Amino acid sequence: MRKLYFISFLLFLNISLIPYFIGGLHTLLAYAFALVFAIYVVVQAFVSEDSRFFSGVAVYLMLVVVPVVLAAVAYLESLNIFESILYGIIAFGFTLISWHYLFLVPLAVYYKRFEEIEATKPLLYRPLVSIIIPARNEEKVIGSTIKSLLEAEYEPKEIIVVDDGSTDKTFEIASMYQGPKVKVLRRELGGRGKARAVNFGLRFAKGDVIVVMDADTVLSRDAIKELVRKLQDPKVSAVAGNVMVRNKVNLLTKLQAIEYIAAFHLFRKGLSVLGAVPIVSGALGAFKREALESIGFFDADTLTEDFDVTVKSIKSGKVVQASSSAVAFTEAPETLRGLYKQRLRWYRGAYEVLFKHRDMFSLTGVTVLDSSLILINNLIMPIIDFLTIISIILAILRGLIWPLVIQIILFTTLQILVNLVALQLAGEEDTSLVVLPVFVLGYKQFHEILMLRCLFDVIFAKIRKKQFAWTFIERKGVEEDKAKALLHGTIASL
Amino acid sequence: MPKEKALIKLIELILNGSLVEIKPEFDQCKGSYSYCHGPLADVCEGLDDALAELHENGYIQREVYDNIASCPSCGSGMFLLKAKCPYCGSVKFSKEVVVEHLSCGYSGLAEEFIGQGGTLVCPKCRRELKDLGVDYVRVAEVYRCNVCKDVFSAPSFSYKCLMCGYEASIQELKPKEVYRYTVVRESLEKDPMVKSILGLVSTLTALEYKVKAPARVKGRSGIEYDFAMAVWKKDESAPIAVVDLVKDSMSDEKLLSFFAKSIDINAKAKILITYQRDPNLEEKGRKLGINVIDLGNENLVKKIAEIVLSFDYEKRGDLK
Repeated sequence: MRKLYFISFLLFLNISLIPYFIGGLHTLLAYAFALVFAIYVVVQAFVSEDSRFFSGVAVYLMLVVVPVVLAAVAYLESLNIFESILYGIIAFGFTLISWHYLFLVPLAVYYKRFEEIEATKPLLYRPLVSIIIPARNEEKVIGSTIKSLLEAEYEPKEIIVVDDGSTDKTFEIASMYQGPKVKVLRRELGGRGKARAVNFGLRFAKGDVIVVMDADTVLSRDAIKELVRKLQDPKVSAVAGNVMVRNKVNLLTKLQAIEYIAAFHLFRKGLSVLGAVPIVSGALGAFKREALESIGFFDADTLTEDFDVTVKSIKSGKVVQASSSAVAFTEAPETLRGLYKQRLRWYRGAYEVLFKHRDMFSLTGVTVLDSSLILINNLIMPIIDFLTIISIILAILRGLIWPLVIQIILFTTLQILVNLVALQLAGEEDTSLVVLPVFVLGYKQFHEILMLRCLFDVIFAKIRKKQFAWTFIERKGVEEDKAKALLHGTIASL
Repeated sequence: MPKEKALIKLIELILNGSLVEIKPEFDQCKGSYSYCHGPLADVCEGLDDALAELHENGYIQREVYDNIASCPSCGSGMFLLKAKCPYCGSVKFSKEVVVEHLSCGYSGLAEEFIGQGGTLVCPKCRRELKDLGVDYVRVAEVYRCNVCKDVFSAPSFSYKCLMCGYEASIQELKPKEVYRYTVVRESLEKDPMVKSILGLVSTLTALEYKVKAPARVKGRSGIEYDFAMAVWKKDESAPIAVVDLVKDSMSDEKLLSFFAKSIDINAKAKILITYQRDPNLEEKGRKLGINVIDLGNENLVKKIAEIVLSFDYEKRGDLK
């Protein structure tokens, strides 16, 4: 914990230095005022225990008005027009990023403590859990996945494998396990989206709790139990599992591992406090059956059915949380090409969902915070980053090198510190610190540029009234022993 | 002693060159592979054990000819494949079609989509489905169990043995290797017992006796008995001598059985050849008038020939 507080201190020190270098004294003062206001809002939310405090005008002020005002201050404090525009953009982006973390870091730390207390409570709710595994050409992994689920600690459970028109031996291998606990269903017309396969399985599921997971996901022995523990709270309708990368074999997969940790331990944990986790990952998530029924199960009109179904849940006022203890290991793409294909689907799907649910960007309820954070992450940050890169190139060409170098260092340090907080929250010790600078300078930009590309893809697709086809990544499979060793290692470190 | 009988028959066939390869054939009545055909048709009982022993001793080589599932209860390979519900084991289930509404992605049994007036309506979004392939598709065919009401895409199968009726799951079925055997005549000829028998056959034949190894001899009671070897004077119906082999040890019952057989066929000389010397058996044999000779005896052939000749008054003294 001491390490965590030290990193958090450095993080806030860093945040305080940046405004001075962006604009000057006035920007710093304006920023300090805004910071006090932000802290007031967060503290009030905790004291009143009212998540609605995060919604409405307060959020609107923090996420729209304050960044614009700070950008204006930075703009006015600059010496010439070029610098004014440049620093205006940087100030706006920086304010948003700061707010983002100012919200999430304290909330995530609070949620860690909340989960520690929750873990001591007995599990009194024991509904039948239906675990749905959509699988298409997963012959390398399906057997070990079913086996790991059969060995999972929770009872009663039923495992439903939906073979989504595989052309390999997936159905035959899964059928070997068919019996009272394992249902194997085959969709002859497969490969047209995970949502369809999940709906198919859902139709024949008997459980009051539905767990959806990927065929290549290896669960910790107590993952199902931990998901159910969250659902023990009658208010909670859906739970996101803690998905981790299991094949940290090269730089790319190590970078993805950090990305997964940051996404879970900052974003999902932070928003769990508000009951508004925006994505229950398709790799592992649980839903109360009645909640899924009330929102009409999964829709098949986007590429990211997990994001879509979660947004639908939040919109209908359901509480969505995340569970750190429900650990799942997934196989991340090992090549840039594989990652590119995967993220093309994810980001296009994310924008499809944002378009589909554009009505959630209203200033009512907790959804406003969620929608704002989703917008910041998926839209504003990529645009700001892109503009910043262009501005920096132009600034260097105009000879403005040193102030920019300092700002880049501060921004990079900020990102590194934030991710260090996430790693600390995750209890992750074996991630090399050498990877972090690459993560914040290079990896993030790759994603942001890809996001912008996907944004335009979706806009053009909407204009042409076309839909995207599903893409698949090839599984390498992990030997059973290795998977087990991996599991035990991680459980021990938690 | 069916195994010994099969062994003797096998050795005879191998030595006279009529058996070079022993290939299994599928027996439709038994539902399994069998070697009991052709020259081995009359030694079915104990044949598998005899082949295993010959292989163990290196007289025949084997290679896998087939690998078949066999009944865990009786070893048969003939089954009736029975389809049943994988969850409750019921054999009562019916086929149903699963329909998917393409635009909203809802999947359900076809019956769920039937609305008022026989039109198809999606139960999730209440939109009417008009054209197959445009509005909706048949994504799968599933079976619905009439007992537990659960659905499955493929029934589970059990294997009912047609021989003993045992119903096994696929996991219970045992793989069984079926071999094809090739004779290694040279190693058989080097076997001391076989060598001795061959020596005896040639010596006694030279002395103008009729020799059969193995031999089936009818007794005065009308019962037929099997011996490793029987020796006749050319013009007599009752053998002058009978020989049997003792591989490990011989129980008193078996000794008496051999004695009784010899008496019934009226054999004069009764000879047992043992692999190793057994003074106890020699003593018991001596009291019953049975000659027990072990393979360690250097003059085994000569000694047996002398015994035979000692009962033949015409030829006594012929052996030098």
